[in-house]
Amino acid sequence: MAPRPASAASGPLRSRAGLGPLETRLLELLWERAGPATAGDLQRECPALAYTTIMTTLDRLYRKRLLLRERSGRAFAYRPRCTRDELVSELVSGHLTQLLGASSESAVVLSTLVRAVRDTDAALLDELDELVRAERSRLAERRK
Amino acid sequence: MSAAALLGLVLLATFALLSLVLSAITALWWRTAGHNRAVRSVDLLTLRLLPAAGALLLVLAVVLPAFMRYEPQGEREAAGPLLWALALFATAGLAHGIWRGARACSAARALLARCRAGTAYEASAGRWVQLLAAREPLVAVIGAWRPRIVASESVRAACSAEEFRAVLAHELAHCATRDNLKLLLLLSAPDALAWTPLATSVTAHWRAAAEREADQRAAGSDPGRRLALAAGLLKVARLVQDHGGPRPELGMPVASDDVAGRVRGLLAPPRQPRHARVPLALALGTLLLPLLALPCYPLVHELIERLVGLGR
Repeated sequence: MAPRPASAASGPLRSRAGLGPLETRLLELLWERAGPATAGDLQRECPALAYTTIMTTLDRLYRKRLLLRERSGRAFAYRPRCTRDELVSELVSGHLTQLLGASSESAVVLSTLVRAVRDTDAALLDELDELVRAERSRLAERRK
Repeated sequence: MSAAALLGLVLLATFALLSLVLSAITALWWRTAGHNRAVRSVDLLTLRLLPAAGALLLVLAVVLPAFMRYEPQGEREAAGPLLWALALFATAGLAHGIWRGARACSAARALLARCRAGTAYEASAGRWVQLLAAREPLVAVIGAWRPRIVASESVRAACSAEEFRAVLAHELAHCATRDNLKLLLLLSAPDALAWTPLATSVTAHWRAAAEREADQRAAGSDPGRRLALAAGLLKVARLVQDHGGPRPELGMPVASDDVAGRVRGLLAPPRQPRHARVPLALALGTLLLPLLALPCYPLVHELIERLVGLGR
């Protein structure tokens, strides 16, 4: 019952973040590196890509607030703003909130375990916790 | 107007008329006896689908044969304004139902597309759950035709292994009974009730009943499993509350989510499920209807003729 990693994870990331294939590729390369990288560094890893293409793409990722950059001589050195997992979590949460918020109860085929809990239910949840604890002790005693 | 066009109009108009009558009966029944917490989900589903399904059955089993048997061949007849109005009403109702169903499916598809990444987790033999690295404490079954179970990591982290298994067993119970497909039928029923708050109310009661029944099916009679699900349910409720309190746009008109009733139901000894009476009676009626309607064909045709000519 152990979790297994999803296959072809860059696909969903691309679609969810609205990233192009090249943007995703460069972002993945930056995540793989320990430190920041300039357009030149990345071009050495992807010789098929033109230097200017890499520079423009990195700039686009910076404007999308996915990368941070600092001066490194005459060029910029880029590093990811967050880890891959943090970005995925942020994207999933943002989209879920947006989708769940936008779709009213009557407009989506969805069965959720618990949809909403009222403010006034806090005390009730404490009371129910007590009941669960009591039942757990009762069961444990019966098993002894 | 040709006989075929007139037949089309008559079928649509009688569907609208019968669906209106059955909607009124359903509404009356709901107001007088429907608010019973012990009603099973299958009874509520039958009740909600009665106007559209009943009207369709009557049209196909009574109106159509009566028209075909007694309408003079080759005769051209003009339709009155009432027939046109009813036929338009039926068309609008059908279109509205299809639109609601398509919108619900498309929203579910969009949600599933967002949930596709993450990790797969085996809930039981051959049944995989999508685990999402999301902040929302979400545990849900999404989609009508091929429902998928999704859960957020926050829920798995909050629950013990046994509680999480129990929570997933609850969702698997929804899949086994095709609850989302039933929900789609409820959301897209093409009748007059769909334009009233009563439809929302019946659907909300159906959801609550379906949740209670999924709890009972998932936990069975094993006290340990019942306790684990009750504890898991409470933990998810806490997460939902901590995440942002009540979300009215997702809330149900019946007691937010009857977490207390469900937890108490799980802590109590299991009860034998009540037999569903409404669907059984309706199934018998459906089988007998074409036979019972045979002697009424001349009268039905006479009524159709009056409806066609009304206001002309």
